[in-house]
Amino acid sequence: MQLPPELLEFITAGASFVITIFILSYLFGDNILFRIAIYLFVGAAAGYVAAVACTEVLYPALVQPVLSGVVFADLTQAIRVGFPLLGSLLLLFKIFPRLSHLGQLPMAYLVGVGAAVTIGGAVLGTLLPQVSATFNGFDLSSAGTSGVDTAFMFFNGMFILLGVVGTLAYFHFGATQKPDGTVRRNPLVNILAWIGRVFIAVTFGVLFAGVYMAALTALIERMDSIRSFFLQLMQ
Amino acid sequence: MAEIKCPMCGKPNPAELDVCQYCEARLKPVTDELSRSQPPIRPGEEPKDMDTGELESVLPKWLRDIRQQARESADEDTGQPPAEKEAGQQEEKADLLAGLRSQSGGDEEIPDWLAGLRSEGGQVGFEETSTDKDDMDALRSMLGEDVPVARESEASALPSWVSDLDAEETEQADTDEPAQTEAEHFASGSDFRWDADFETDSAPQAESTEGERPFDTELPAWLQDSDKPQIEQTESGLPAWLGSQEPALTEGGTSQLGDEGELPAWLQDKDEAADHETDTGLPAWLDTEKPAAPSEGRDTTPVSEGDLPGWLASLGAEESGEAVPPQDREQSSSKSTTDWLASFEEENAEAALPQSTESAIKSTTDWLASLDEETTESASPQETAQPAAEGEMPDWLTALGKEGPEEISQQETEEPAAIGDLPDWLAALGEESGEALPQEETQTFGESVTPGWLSSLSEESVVKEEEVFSPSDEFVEPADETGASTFVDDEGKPISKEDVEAIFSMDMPDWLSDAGGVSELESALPAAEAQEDELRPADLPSWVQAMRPVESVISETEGAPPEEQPVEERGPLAGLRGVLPAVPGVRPSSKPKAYSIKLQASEEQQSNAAMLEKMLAEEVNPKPVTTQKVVLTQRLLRLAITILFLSIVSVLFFSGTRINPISTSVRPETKAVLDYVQTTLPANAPVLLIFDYEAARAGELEAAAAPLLDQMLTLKAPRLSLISSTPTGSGLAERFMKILQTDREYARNDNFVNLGYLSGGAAGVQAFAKDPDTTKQLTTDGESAWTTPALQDVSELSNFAAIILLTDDVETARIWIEQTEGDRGETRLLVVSSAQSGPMIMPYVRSGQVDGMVTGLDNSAPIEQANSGRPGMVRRYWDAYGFGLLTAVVMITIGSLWSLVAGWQTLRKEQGQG
Repeated sequence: MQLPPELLEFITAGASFVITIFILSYLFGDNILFRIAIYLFVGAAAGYVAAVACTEVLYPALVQPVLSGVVFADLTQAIRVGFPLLGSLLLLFKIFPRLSHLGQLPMAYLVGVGAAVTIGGAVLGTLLPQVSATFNGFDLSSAGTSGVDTAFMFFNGMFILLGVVGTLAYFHFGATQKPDGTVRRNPLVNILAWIGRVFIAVTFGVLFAGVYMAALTALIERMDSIRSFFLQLMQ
Repeated sequence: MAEIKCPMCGKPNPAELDVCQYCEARLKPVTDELSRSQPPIRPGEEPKDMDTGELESVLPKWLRDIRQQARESADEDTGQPPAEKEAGQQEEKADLLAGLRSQSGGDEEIPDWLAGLRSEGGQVGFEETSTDKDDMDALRSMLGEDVPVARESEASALPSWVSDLDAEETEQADTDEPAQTEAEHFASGSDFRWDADFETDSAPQAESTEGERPFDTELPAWLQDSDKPQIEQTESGLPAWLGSQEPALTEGGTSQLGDEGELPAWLQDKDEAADHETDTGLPAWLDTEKPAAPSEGRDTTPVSEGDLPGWLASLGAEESGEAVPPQDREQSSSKSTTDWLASFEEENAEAALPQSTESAIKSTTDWLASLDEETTESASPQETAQPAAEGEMPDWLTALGKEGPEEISQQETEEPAAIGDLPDWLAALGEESGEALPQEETQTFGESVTPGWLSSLSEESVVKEEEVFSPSDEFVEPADETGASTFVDDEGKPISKEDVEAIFSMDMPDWLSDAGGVSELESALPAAEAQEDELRPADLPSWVQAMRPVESVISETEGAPPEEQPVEERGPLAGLRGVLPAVPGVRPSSKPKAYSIKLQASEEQQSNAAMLEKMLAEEVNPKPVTTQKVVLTQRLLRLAITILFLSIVSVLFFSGTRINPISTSVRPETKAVLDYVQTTLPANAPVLLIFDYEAARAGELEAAAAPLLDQMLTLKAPRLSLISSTPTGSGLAERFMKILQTDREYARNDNFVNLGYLSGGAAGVQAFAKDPDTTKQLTTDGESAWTTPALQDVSELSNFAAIILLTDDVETARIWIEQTEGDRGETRLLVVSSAQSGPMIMPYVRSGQVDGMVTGLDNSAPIEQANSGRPGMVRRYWDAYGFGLLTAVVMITIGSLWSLVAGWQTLRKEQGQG
């Protein structure tokens, strides 16, 4: 039997209201209502993820090609999915300690591919462009075309450069032993590290503000949800 | 038969054997029997009176055989019936070896020297007891009669000196030099006294014809006459001349010579000696020695004249003027003198000894005196312990039986023959070794003069000694009290020292050489004794010695004396000698670096150290127990802040106020997005929407993205392709589409298509970027996505007009930015991010990798305002959002100021207290 959309929507709103109240009860400390809400959320999320993985990944990407290859005698399709299928089956042996060594090969393939993708993306997608962007901050020729003051642009570039170098210097822990026996860093590195500490602190402050703003927005949205529920209930 | 197990090979051997018949190892210890009976004699100890009867069992077999043969031959000569022979033998035994019969047994202790002989002699058993053998036979055997084959065979097993002795004796047998025989016997290094052979097991007696005097060829003259078949023996079996001493020996070793028996002429001639009687009745030559000091267990009572043997007593009587006819002597000492001594009397009575009497008397008196002293004084405790055991054995015999070669050699000099039939040279040895011994005790038989046979014997023995042995370097010419040499020539004149040394030029046996050196040894004996008297340090074992502290002995430095060393000219040691020279070039070129003795610690280290010290000090102090008040305060404060925030936000939201105005300024990155959507984006262009945010951030992102997408849909009506790299993204996408479709109809697959979940993380994104139609072929409905109108003419990532990324995580944004960097082409990448991730994604915006970004409600509010307030969520949230931020700012400011003031007050308190 298929429920009417309005009823279904009402039930959904009511459930969300109740769970919201349960989560808000954490203001008074850890309690059973909060735990119920958490358990429901974890369970629902896990189930939804498993369902999505099965319906949108395993079946269409693994099972269906094999079946179509077998049924329809499509050898190419069968071979194309055969190796992934074999690797998936070998990974299952990781569950058994005595046979875990059989899953080392596909695991190694996954680790290697992931490392390569990550390293390549980090270098080509982040490191190089960011370094280029830092240098481009001193491109005074582009300041005129963008309508930005050259001095401001230079100062902006210097500021950015100082922040970048200072942040990197803050995470430099190399030091040498002085004649007096103490171990200290280079004084210039110490100065830059102090500047970098300032930038890092400001960054953490901005991040904290953003988290608060996001949380506040989420709170307001929940209040709006509760209001809508009551309005709908009243209607 | 009893068997002895060999300690080496473990094989059984007959008990009678001394050496294993398999491996020739000794079965019985050398000093086993002897050491059990009594403790060994130590240097410096005075010899004890020994009972020669104890030696019967320890006599070697060959000696006992000889004695037995001698007795048998003597019996045959005399024609005595066996019974009488036995009686005679008994008497002989009684005369000479009175104690032997009592000691006849198989468990006699064997002296070391005899045991040594036995070991060298091979299988010579001591089981045989002393048979009734004539003393003469024994003496004959000792003095070198023809050694029978058996004896020779045994002699081959005997030590070399014994065999040499036998060989020499056989050689000298033809020469008829009895003195030499006797000398040979002694020179052969016999470890025992010559008269001890009477008591020991004699070697197989040399084959001697009946009636043949055993001492004809080798014995001195005075001994040759004693070669009578009938040797009177005492009841104990000792010869008469020895038997006369039996009473004396049995009574504690005192030299109680028997009745005055027959004395040989040489002894009788002593009355003509110049020795005058002393008060004690002893001849002068005997009385010159001091009476021996009373020793332990030794009877020091002066021996009465009646206790002396006859021959010695006759000496005394003669000296005192009594004329004792030979017959009377025989009668008086029928039991104390041997036949051979009697023969000596007959022969030597006529011997012209008046010329040499004096000298002989002097020499003989010396050794007799020494005999007297040694036998009465130098009795060792060992001898006293066994006076009864040994019977009537003279001291020197008993001492021989119990001592080793060295000891016997030592004692031999200490205890010269108590009987006056020792050669002078032997007596001289005894005197030499007995120098350390106080010569106090006088021999009892000093009462009689030195018999002539003794003097003649000394003369002959001196001559024979040349061929027998040679004195060792340690040999010292014996000298009497007067300083004259003991040795006399045929004419009775004393022999000079050089001559004496020449006489003793032959190799002396060990026991004689030791005898000469015994004097040196004995000289050390008093010192040794003194040392022994003192507390002797114990011999520390090696492991104890190793534990002893090593005394560092700094040896004196070698080198020149201080006077010869140069004087130091400069430096603090100027003027001193013996200073180490300063070698050029070794001096430090510069002043040594001065090191501060202070602890070099920086201020930071000192502060840390002070902190540590303070912490340690605080460990001693009890810490106050935390109370609940602090926890309650914090909880109340948190609750109050919560209530404040909720009140403000809820009131403002539920009130629907529109107090807070929305700013019209747009940030550049947001303006770029707005400009692209309004102007650049083509109509009905495919746009890829990526929903990579969590469900908890759905309200914010929906509020931030809704105005932009609403405006884009309103103005450009693009074909949307929904995709997500998170499992929950597809659901969020569906929810968001419902929000957008409130005012319009966007048909699935026609206007939008949901590609669903893109698995694989960064690799999946890269794969989609490379080949999207292969990576995501189907929609969430199971239909082929790339054939739908929404994805018409789209086969690559670059075919999309724009890529709008909705994310609340920096990592997700980085993955999409990095992996699609090379495949996007001219496609714009727009990011709608949450307020918490916006600052982290801004570098990508600054670098040009992201074309535009909308961050939270702040950036979406102008877009919604520009969109005519559609959908209106931002406006609805704006007042509560604004006042909420304001409240937070106020709260943070108030709290910071509160913390600042509190810290300043605490600092003032600390400064006030400090």
